[in-house]
Parts: sequence; structure tokens; C-alpha cells
Amino acid sequence: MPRIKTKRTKAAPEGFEQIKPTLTDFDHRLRKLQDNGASRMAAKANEGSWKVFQLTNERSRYIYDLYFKRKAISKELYDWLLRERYADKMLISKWKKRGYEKLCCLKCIQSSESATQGNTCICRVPRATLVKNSSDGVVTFTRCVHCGCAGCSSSD
Amino acid sequence: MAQRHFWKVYKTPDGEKYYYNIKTKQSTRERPAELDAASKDEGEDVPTKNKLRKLGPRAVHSVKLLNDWFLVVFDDGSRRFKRQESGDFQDELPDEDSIHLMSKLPAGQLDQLCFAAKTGQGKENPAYQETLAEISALRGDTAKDPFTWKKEEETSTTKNVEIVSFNGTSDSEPVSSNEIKLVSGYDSSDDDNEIQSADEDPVLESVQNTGILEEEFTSLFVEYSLDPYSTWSLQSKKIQDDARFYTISNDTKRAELFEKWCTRQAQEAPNILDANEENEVSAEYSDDEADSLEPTKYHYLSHIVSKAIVSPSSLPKDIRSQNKPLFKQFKIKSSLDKKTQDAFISKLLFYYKRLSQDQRTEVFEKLLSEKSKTISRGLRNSDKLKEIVSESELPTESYAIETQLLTLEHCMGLHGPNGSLQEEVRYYVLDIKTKTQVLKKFLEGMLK
Repeated sequence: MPRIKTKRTKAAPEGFEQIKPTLTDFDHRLRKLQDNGASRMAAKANEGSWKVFQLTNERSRYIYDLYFKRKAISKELYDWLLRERYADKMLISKWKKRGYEKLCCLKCIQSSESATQGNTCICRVPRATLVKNSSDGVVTFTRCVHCGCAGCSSSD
Repeated sequence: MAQRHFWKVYKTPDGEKYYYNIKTKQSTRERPAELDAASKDEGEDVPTKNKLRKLGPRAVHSVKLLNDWFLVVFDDGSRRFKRQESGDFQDELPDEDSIHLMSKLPAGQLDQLCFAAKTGQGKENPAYQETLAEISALRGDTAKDPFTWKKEEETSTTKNVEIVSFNGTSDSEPVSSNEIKLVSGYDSSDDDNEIQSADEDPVLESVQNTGILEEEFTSLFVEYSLDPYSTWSLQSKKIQDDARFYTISNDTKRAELFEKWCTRQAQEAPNILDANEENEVSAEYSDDEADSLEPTKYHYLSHIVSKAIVSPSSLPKDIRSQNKPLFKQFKIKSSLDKKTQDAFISKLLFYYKRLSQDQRTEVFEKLLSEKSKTISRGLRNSDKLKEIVSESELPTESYAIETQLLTLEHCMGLHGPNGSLQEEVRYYVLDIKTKTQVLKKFLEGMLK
């Protein structure tokens, strides 16, 4: 979620107008998510937040691409967007690292938050390794509990 | 259906093979005789052909020589010879007439052909066409001698050049004398030819096709005036009703193309801005050129290091504590923060610890010669430069030497186009006096 605009909020740097429609669209999508009722099944308790994680990831990726890949926005605007929390700067800082290029969310690499034995999340394991380690070549993993990621290793 | 097709191969849980007959419901661990017999008489040529296709080098060009011999060039750059009837490849050419013919080819022609085959140019490559023309001309010559050849007479009189597909054991059609068959894969229904064309043509075509498709797809973006500052998931909604949207079936591929297009758009837009800025910058430079004798970024720091006493164990902080007054005098703190200072000093200390004065001079000269191209491009104010360079003697006062160095650096465009040189540590490995001397010598050589 972006920060709430107040009087003290700095005016957006030049170039913001160009990306504003897309950001508004992201905002709409996020609002829509809130309207959807969550499931009451215990097994689906986490799933409500998955969509939010996914959207945050998508928006951060959009801003990351704009600045680093397309080089379409200025440094100034990029910093402003990060400060106003349009993108998750922690997540972006991970994407710059080798092996984390496709990381889904920060929860999945924090060993303290991951449920099992303090390891990283299963979605970080390459698909090939999952297949290799399974007894009969069938992978039962579909989505991770933290953010509903179906696999975000760099080799996938 | 042949007997052998009823046999299926399975594996037992412990990994051994066993055979099961689906008709008689009989199973055995031994290989049934029918399977062997059947594969011998009918299965033979199919697998070998497939093998030829998959393994080993692929034949690219084939040039007809004399007495039914062919020169075949493979895509790994090797060449071999083949007689039409036997179809086996041989490394040496046993036919004397053909050897004679090949020796008449211009030197280097064959090497060129092999190289072209290796680099994967198609049948259209000029080296191949040249060789064909050459050979046909030569064959025309030799054909005038009636003794050496009777068989090929019809072909050679019309200077026909023919290419056979490499794994065609025999070209069953009689050679038609008027027809110039440049690419046999296209006009023959021979089984082997089909394999070859299946081998080469679709690849080429598909490469071209995807190129065209991608272009067409990209043109959609402009047509529907998509926003290059937006995401693919949003923008794709605008164009997905168009039929051309589906020319590319993979959505990740589409997204990739979109990204590429966006990058291009973004680059085109600020280019104009950049150009303007550059103009402004250069204008500024010409304005205050007169009084802009500005030292390079690490000028004073390197000066301090060159004056300092460097022992094998000295660290940046030793240098700092040693030369505190100098640091203060040159106001190093105001231009460089402590971290960059330390980083630079430790890099420079490496050169001072390991290398002698002469070696450092060498390092510096090497750097200059490496960058000589960019330096020569960045040179300006050449009158002043010539004037300084022509003075062979260095001034005696240290201040004058420094002024001269700064002027030289200014003329070299160290604060403008050659700014990158300022960042280079190797540019600072000498003390000011030696540096001025070497630089002068270098520029003298360059101006000549």
C-alpha cells in the first residue's frame, strides 16, 4: 500500500504522470481484493493474503522494470516511489542479488518465519530438485503457504 | 502387422528387461527370436538414416568432381569424398582425374568453402556458388579431352553442376542434361531428399518466420498506441481482440516482446533530452575555459601518498596520521569522504609497495597507450598543448610544474570527455614531477 498523502508529502517528481494510470489500476485491483469475502475453511485461511502478496510483487516488479530494465524513469522518481511505498524496496534489493532474481516475497526467505524447521520456503527449491527428490517423480507441492507462490527459484 | 510388433519390452521391478507378447500373452526374459529377425530385415535402413541425421556432422555442400566422385563438405568444416554408387565416405580421394581437377582450383577456395559450411551459411553463400562455377568451368575444360571421360560427357558439355543429397546412396534419376539442379532437395521426390529438406529448410524458414511474426506483433503496439510506461497485463487487454495478437502463441514471449518495445521507446524519448544537456555542458565548458585549472579528483591525495614514507606494512590510516597537516592544507575532507579516501589510498599503496619507480612509470605509460585512442579524441586547445610540449625543460619551481600538469590535463579533456581517466588508480601511481615528464613525452608522440 502506498503511503497516505498528506500536506507534508513531497510533490511527485517529473514523469510520475506517465506511470500514474498503471499505479491507479493496481490500486483498484487491491481494493477489489478487499471486497472479496474470505473463505472460512481453516485450510484456506492463508489464501486471502496470497492475492495481496501477488499484487505487491507485481507492482514492485513493475517499478523495478521501469527503472532497471526499461530505464524509463529517473532516479529521482524511483526514489520517490520507494519512499512513498509504491514498491517494496526490501524485495527489490533482493532481486538484485544472484539467485534471488524471481523471489516471490520476503517471508519465503526468512528462516524464522518459515514454518518448517527454520529453513527457507519450499517455493525456493528448483522444480528439477523437487522432481529428483520425490520418490516416484510426482511433485505434490503446488503453492507455498506464505504467499501462494508456485515456485520462484531462478532456474525455473 | 509384423510379428515383432506384438512384442513389448517392459522392466521388472528390479530393473531387468522382459518381453511380453500382446497377442499370445506369453512373457519371457530372453529376447525373442522374432524380434531380432524382424529388425534385421526391415528395421535396418530406417535407424541408420536417423542416426546419420542426428549424430555426426551434417553435409552442407556437395560438389561434383569427375568419374562419379563427389566432394562433400560437412558443417564441422571437414571434407570427404564419395562415389555415387557406393555411397561410402572416404577421407582420401582415390580418383586421379578428380585430384587433378581439384588441384586446378584456385588456392584457398576449398578452405573458404569449408569455413562457410562451418559457420552455417546456407546454399546461397558466395563461396559455394563460386566453387561450383569454378568446378564446372574446369570440368568443361577437361571434358574436351575425350579420352579421360566418356561417361560424363553429356553432363560436362552443358557444364551442368549437380548437387546430390549427402545420404542419397544413388541418384536413381538419369541426369538430365539441360536442367541445372542447384538444390536437389526441392525437385526430387527421393526419400532421402525429403529427410534432408526436413533437416534444413524448416529451421531456416521458421527463423525467418518468427522474425516476421515478431515484427508484425510489435507493430500492433504502435497501432493501438499502447503505453510504454505500463505493464503487459494491463496493456495486453487492449490488443487481445485483434487476430494478430495470436500470431505469437506464448504469453511469456509476448510479454518479452512488449518489454523490448518499451525499452526502445524509453530510450528514444530521453535521447533528445540527453543531447540537449550535453550541448549545454559543452557550452559551459567553452565559457569558463580560461580559469578552469581544476585538479583531478585524486590529485592531492596521490601527491600526499607520493610524499609519504611507505613501508611494507603501512595502512591508509598511517598515511593519514603521518601527513595530517597536508591533509588539512589541501582540504581533502571537503572533496572526498573518508571511505573513498581510504579505498583510494589502499589501492595506491599497492603500487607503491610492490613496484619501483621505473615499474610504476611503465604502468602509467601502459595506461596511456591503452587509452590513447580516447585521449586523442578528447584533445583540445591544441595550440597551448603544443606550446607546453615543445618546452623540453621542466620549470624549476614545484608550483609551476603543477600548473603545467594541470594545463596538460585540461587540454587532454580530463574534466570533459576523458573524465573516466580521472577515476583510474593507475593514473595516479606517479608523483607530480615524473608524471608531468611522462605525460609530456606521451603527448609529444601523439601530436606528431
